[in-house]
Amino acid sequence: MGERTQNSTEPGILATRLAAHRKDAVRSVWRLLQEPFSTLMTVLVVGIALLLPVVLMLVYANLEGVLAEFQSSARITLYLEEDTTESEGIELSEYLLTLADTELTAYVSPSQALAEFSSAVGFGGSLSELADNPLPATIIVRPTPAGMADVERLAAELGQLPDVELVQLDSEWISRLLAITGVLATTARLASLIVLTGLCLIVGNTIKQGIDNRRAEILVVKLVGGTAGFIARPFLYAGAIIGLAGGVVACILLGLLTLGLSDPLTDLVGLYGGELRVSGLDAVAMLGVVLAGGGIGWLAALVASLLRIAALEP
Amino acid sequence: MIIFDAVSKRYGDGQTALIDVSFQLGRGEIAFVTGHSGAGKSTLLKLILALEPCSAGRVFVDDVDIGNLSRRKIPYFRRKIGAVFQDHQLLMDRTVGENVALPLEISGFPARDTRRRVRAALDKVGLLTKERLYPASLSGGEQQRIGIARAVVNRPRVILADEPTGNLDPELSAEVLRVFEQFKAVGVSLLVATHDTSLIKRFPYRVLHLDEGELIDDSTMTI
Repeated sequence: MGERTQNSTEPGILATRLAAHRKDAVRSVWRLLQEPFSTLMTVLVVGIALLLPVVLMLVYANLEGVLAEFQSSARITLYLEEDTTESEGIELSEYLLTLADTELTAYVSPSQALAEFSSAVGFGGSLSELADNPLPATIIVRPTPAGMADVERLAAELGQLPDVELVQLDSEWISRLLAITGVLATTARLASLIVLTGLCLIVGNTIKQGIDNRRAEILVVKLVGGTAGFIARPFLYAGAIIGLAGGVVACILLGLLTLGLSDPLTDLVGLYGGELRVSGLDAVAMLGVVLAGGGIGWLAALVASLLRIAALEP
Repeated sequence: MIIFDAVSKRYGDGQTALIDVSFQLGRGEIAFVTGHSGAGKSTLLKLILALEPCSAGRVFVDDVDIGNLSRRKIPYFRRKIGAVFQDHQLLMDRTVGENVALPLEISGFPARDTRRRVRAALDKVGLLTKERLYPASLSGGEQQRIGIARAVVNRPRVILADEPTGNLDPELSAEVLRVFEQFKAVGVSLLVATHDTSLIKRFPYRVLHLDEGELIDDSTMTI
């Protein structure tokens, strides 16, 4: 009778529970395999749906790495007043190096600048015809790696110095990229949320169909005293298994993506003077994706099955 | 064990199934419920299983007022009752043994006890050799007996049977009643809905006769 087992505290009860769960898990796998095509479809859909948020996350993580790389290459160029002498310039350059926010400073005299410019641009001949050197002396400052806001603050400060005529921060495009990345991150989060909601609906609907297919069986189980939890159990396993399998599919797809995109992306970033090592997911993160898939599947199955089972009455 | 106190049941469509029915069934008592089809026999059994709420009056089973049962407690309540259904209500994708084991599986019985009890229950209804077969390969009468084995396997306090001998020949019907009597002997109360008059003659237990929802005859025969 019912109460005998409920009151039982014998050690065998755990083994009995485990055996019952194992039976339900095996039964769920068996049922999923009975319909291999639709199961495969569901798993693929779940995998693809899981892939999107993971890819967005990865893109963001990689982009942040690249940006940090770019930031460390940020340069502040100080154009000095025309009447600044070379020794004053060098002195200023040395003074700037003592500041906490600077890592490297270099004084470039007008003649050095002209030489560099002509060799870089290749107008050597035409430039030498100029009577005066039109280029000002400059000090190039490499700030210590820091956030872009700090670099901007430093640039503004340096602009206040007496001998400095103009400050140019050659990293405005990085700031813009950073802003765009921020927007992308928010978009990615929203998109992930939407996709994950869709994922729950997909799994929930699959489970609901499974329950409707076994309507007759569920009614019999209810007649002989099965609780909603008992009836839901195989469906929860089914949801978790679909989710876990979807997670594995997502990891495989991600691996293929990373392999395919790694070289072109490295080349692209290289063009902007950055260095990129496309990082995929490590084993722990992959396990996380698989488990997250399983968890989402289980949760969706829980909600769907409890709602559906409550609606079925003998 | 079972008490009906001025119970009426009207369905949503206005059809009245039971009118002011009162009776008590004691521990270890067997009663037949008779009447034409539509007289309210099935409704009476459904009320006891908490499948339908009653419109008026109260139903007690084992001192539990069914009207006060919360939704959550209904499954546990049903485990005290072994029910045999007219349409068997078997799971066709499970073996005979697995069907009989279902109530034990639901209650979380250890596997070893389950196997022993399932075999004992199947032995009682003469189907021990069919344990590994599927219900679809058995005759209607054999399926009926699987249902009976499933109803008794949990050693319930109350057994409800809706036409349990409907598909059985007189010899098997008597066999089923003898199984029920074994349970009566250990204090189980049984309500058996039937219109098998020859069975009632052979087993002269109490008869609750329903006519158009009213309990018009409650004859307690003495053996």
